[in-house]
Amino acid sequence: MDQIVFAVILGIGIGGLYAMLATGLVTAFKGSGVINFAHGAFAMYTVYVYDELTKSGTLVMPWVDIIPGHSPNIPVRIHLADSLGSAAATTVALLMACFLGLLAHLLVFRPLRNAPALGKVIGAVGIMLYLQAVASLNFGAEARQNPGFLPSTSGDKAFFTNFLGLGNLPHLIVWMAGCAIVMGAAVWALLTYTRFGLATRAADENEKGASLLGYSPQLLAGLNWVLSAFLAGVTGLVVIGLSSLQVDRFTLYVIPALGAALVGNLTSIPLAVVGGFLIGMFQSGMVEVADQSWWPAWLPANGMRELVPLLAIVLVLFLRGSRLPIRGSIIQRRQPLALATDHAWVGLGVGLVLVFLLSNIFTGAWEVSLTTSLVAGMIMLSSVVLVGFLGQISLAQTALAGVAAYTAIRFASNGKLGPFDLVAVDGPGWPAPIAFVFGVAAAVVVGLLVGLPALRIRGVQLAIVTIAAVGPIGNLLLQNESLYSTAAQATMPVPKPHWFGVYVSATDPQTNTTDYWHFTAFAVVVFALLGLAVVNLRRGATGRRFLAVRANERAAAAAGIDVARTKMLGFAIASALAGIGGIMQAYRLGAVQVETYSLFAGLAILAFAYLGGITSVWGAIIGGLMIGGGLVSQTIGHFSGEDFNAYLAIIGAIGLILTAILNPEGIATGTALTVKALWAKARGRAPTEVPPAPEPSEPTAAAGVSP
Amino acid sequence: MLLGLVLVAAACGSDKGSSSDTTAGASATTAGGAETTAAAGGGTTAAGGETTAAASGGGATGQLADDSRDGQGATAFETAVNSTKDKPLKATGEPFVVAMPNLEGDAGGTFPDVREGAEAAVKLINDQLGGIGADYEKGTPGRPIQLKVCSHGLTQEAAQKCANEVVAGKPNLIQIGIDFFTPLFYPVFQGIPTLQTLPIFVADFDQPGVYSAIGGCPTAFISAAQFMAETKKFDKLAIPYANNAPGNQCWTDTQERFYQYYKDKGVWDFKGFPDEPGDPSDNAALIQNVADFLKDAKNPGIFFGVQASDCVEFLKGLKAAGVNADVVVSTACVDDTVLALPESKGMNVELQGYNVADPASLTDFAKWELDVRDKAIDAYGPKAAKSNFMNDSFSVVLWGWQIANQLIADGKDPFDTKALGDALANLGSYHVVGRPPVDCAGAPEEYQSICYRSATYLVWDGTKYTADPDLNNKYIDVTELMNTVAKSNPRKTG
Repeated sequence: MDQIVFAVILGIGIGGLYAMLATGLVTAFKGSGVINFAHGAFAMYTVYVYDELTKSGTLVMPWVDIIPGHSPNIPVRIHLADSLGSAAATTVALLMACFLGLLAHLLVFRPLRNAPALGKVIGAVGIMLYLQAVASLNFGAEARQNPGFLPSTSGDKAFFTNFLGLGNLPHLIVWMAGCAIVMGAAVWALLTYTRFGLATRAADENEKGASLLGYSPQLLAGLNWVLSAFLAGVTGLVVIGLSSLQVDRFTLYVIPALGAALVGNLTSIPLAVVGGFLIGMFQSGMVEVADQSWWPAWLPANGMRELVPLLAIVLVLFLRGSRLPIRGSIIQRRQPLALATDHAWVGLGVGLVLVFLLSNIFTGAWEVSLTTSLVAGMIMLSSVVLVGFLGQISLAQTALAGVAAYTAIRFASNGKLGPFDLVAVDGPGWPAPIAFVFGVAAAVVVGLLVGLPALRIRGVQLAIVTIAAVGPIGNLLLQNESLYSTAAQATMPVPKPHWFGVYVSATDPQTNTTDYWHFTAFAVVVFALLGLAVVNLRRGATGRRFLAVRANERAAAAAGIDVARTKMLGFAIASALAGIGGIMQAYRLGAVQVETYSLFAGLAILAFAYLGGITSVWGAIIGGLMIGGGLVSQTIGHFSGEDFNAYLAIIGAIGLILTAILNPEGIATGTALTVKALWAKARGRAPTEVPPAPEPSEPTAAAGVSP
Repeated sequence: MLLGLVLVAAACGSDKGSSSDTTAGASATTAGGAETTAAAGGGTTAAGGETTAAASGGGATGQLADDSRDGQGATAFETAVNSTKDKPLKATGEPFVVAMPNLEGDAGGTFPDVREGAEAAVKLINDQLGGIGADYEKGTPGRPIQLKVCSHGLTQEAAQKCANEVVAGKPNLIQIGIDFFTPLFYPVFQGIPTLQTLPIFVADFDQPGVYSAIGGCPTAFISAAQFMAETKKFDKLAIPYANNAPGNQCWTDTQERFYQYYKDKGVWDFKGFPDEPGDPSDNAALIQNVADFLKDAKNPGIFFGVQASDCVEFLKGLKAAGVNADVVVSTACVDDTVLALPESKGMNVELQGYNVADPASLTDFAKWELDVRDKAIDAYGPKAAKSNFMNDSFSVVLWGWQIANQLIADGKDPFDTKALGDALANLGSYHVVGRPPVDCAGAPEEYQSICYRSATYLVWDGTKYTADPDLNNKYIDVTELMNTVAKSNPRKTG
């Protein structure tokens, strides 16, 4: 028991990290009403800048020069000195953090100030993806170590020797906890006792009222963004010695930090700090608990630790959902239009012909790109239904695709070792179509569980729940040996699928190359069927109910729509679509890992679906074409002779942000609207569907709560 | 995950790690004081052939190589270099195609150094050494090598595209660079002889038709087990390892069952501590767990294998938690930050290949060929920073070239993939430029692709590496241990 207690106490270090990040998240939310999913990315970039300054004296700006050596030569690396001392590097790095916050406000969130919740989430996700991609390019993949500047984090002596008779408490842990408390207290005092803080709170509670008092809500928002980014930078620098520097790791810290911020109701910094400590201590304690002999092996310890933030988030949202603050803006833009697709059969016919032509003309790498686009498009269709039609922001669709794939593999496997398999997967060896159905059913079950909180919450809060759910789905389910055999920890080989006697894997049975035309044809048919289903869903009564719920849940309920049932139906349909895409992904790859269905893979799916047009099937098609490894990147790479994949993530992130700001309908619907408008103009009459003026929105629209 | 893979690569190889291959010791030698004389005269003339004319001797003034010590083909290589040093022999004719899939262009994991090492070797072969099958006595060139590199990003899709592209190019030989998708490659590469630059996954260890001149993870981790049990004689061993796909694979296949073997022999008690790499939220508690496990040990030890991302904090935290255990690390846990820690003083670091930190431990031939390698790479002019991966890739290309020459010397055709594959499978002690000799024929079945299975251990004294006093630069050959454990505790496949 002592060991468990001490492990819990040791969690104050990591809890301090969450508390510091939560302080910054609350600051940004109070200042602008945005939940900043990119907060961890701000910390990450600041830390990398600091590391580079201390090692080479070079300031690395947060952008890249895509065509180095050609005009305009954008300065990316500015050499300041051979190497900078800790104090100077800290100053410059924190200035960079402030710069990032200012840029985020001016370029992204100020233009998005009146956008619906989805637009703001997409904006934040876009910044996160952008900073990750830029950092990867500018700083490289190699893990970096930096001792940081906290005093005496190394050496034989602990900060507290034999603390409470339990063990030694290291310096770094105590310092991190102390820094979190100091940061929380300082920001709390700033927001409580200064004129700036009072003005911020006024704008937070009533933007219009603050304007009438002479405060500029946008100026206050800008200042709070700078403050929030500064706090992120400080957090990064405080914990720099805690672990190696990795681009994605800092980004992921934001998930437990969001849980902590929600404990603080997104407004209370002291409670957010407490929340951070609690989550960190629970996570640390779980390491020791799971090490006990009585701990059941079927519950992976790592998954349980990741479950802690999710449970905290769900608990808080359930208990306090109706009292969570809403930052309404004076005007709110409407949701993206979800046009009904006309002449779907014509589109289907043209599409099928095109794809069959492509699959016969382009083989090898082109065929792989084609199937990459098709399968990504299938998973994007689930986002079209759930996010585009129903307005429920889910970041877990790709994880659900993984559930379906792993389940289908398990049921289709027979325990025999294939010639190139590392580990055999035990299973009943069911025919592929039956395993397929069970895989999809598993995705629906897990999808409904993930969607349950949507009965009480929606918008950005649901996005938080779903992003927090991805970790446990991966670690608790997919990597669970009890569920999916020992292969779950490494690579799951996919049994060769036959559907009614026809081999439908992408792996050529003769050459083992992954460009077999059977799969291409199968994927085309499946995508066509799914696309038609989604088109009909949108056109039918169910689709109209979805749109009604998306527009205004209270009005929908008043009109006799069972909102809860409609939401669950949406989650079930979307999960099934994601599941089908996930299994097709497995058929395509021949072997899958949990990373195939990771959070970042899911974010890319959502991002490109939004870019293509989150409210239409054509959006999924365009998004699929644009996804990394899809036909667009293959075409660019082929004709340019350059490998643009490294830049594709940056281009995608910028495109995502621009889409959120300028064209929330995405490429597909935006183009359709333009074409319709031009066609109508050419025929001398008004278009039938024109983007309406901003609709008056209910006050719950930003972070709304279900009735 | 990607970082985890990079770390595994670091753990299994030696990118720029501890000590080895890159710097000191590789100075040219002109001494003719060959320790041995090796076979001279007769036979074939192609480098890699069993014997050579050795007309111009070794090094600058005399013959340095000894095939019985440096592996078959060492003398031939020396002859080839010296014969063409002043009169380069340019290869002509139909090329021998070597295809190389390699991770490159994705910031998440990019190894241009591996490609450039291979390109440097090809340049040396084609522009100076006369290609494959050159006759140095007559001064007639052989066929050139054409290197077709397929660089790809860090996705399964890109890797599979690359695999398709590689086989579409109908290569005579495949040399896999550094790649995290090799299990996807092997079904596609069936029937084509394949050299693996760095074996990382279990699929790399026992793949028919695939051979590695670098020991990779199996040699690194299994030699560590043997070193810790038989040399360090730990009575309790704690092993933090990465809880991700490659980490778990390495743990299951190359660590746990070997530790269990020694536990069954009563040598020690051991415990693995799965750690989320790069995630500090579990570190403090894990360190405490390690401390609790080791607290009553008389001679405790800690091994960091695939654990580099958190090893700095582990090293610092263990001392603070009151743990005083000897530390043994793979090269994944070695960088400037680690070496600067006071806690790293006295730790043992694994080394495969020559110990260039200790020139006295090198033969004159080793010094000479390391110099040849470094000069060839310099002459090529790599854009990427020099690294041990670059050196390894260079060596592997030359290895393939020597084997092709060997086939010609034996009157066979290197363009015959079956003959080339058989030659690789039956290699006895064979020379690899810049590295100790390999032995493919003697590889245990579970590790049939691993042709190099020796490592030594150095001690970091806070400023420099020294030989472990108990090993004194002796190499641990893990072949016997591999065979023994394969019988008592075979690889799990289900």
